[in-house]
Amino acid sequence: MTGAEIRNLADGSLIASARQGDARAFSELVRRYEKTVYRYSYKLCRDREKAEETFQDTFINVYRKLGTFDGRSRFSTWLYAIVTNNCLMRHRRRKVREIEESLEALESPATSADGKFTHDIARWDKTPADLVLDKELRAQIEKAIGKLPPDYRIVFTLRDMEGKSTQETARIAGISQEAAKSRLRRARAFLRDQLTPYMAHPARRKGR
Amino acid sequence: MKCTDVYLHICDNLDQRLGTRRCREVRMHLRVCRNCRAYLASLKRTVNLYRSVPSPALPAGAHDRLIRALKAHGCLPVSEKRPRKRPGRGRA
Repeated sequence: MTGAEIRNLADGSLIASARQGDARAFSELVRRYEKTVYRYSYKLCRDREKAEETFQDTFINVYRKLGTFDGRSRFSTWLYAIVTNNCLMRHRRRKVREIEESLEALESPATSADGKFTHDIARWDKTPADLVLDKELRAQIEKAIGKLPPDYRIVFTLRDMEGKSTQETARIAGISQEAAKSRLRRARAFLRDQLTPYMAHPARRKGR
Repeated sequence: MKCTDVYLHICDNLDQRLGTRRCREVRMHLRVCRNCRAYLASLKRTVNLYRSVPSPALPAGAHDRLIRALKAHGCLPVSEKRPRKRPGRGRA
């Protein structure tokens, strides 16, 4: 089979061939998914070195576990799950309990007994033209997402950055759909709160 | 409908225009509640801002380092050639 023919094969055929020891089929799977795996690894790890280690570990795991892929989910879903597990394993040694607890408390803005918000929600007054990703805002965004504990970052990245459905996000993260929704709510609220001081006060920006 | 109900709903269905009774109730609440409108708008902007951060490209040399790691772990035969036209160059 020529290289061009291999590149035209569907994932299922490549997986079947790779399982039987076809190195060219496995190489094609690597070529096909390496950018996706690296991008997702980086979004979870927020660090080039860790992202590349996760990226390499992922493909080594793919090779070793290819026999267990049952085809019930898409191959990409299975890949995302392996990256997610690798990322979580790397983070387990780090202490993130403090922020995790503060996120647990972040269910919604403070409300009164009748369920109304007890204080005015700050309006984000920036116009779309102001929202160009300048250096300062970019740094603020990176800092905020870096503070998110991995369990929350995974769900936010999958749902809001990678565009996965709630069902697929839950499957990749190995949690229920309700847990995925709950983590997404808290992650969005946390990130919003982190950006609010910047977004709600235009006078803070340079030159304004 | 309370602000807390709206909060839960809009967080789950940020960009969706669903026709359910609950969605109609949320829309009615949003018409009269300035705080919930502000919250929804800021939440949408938050997500859009994060989406607008460019995705990182595969670093130069990362493909070659991956192939070496795969060979070192016995995932590819040492003689395996990369499916590339110009071997020996870094990958952008």
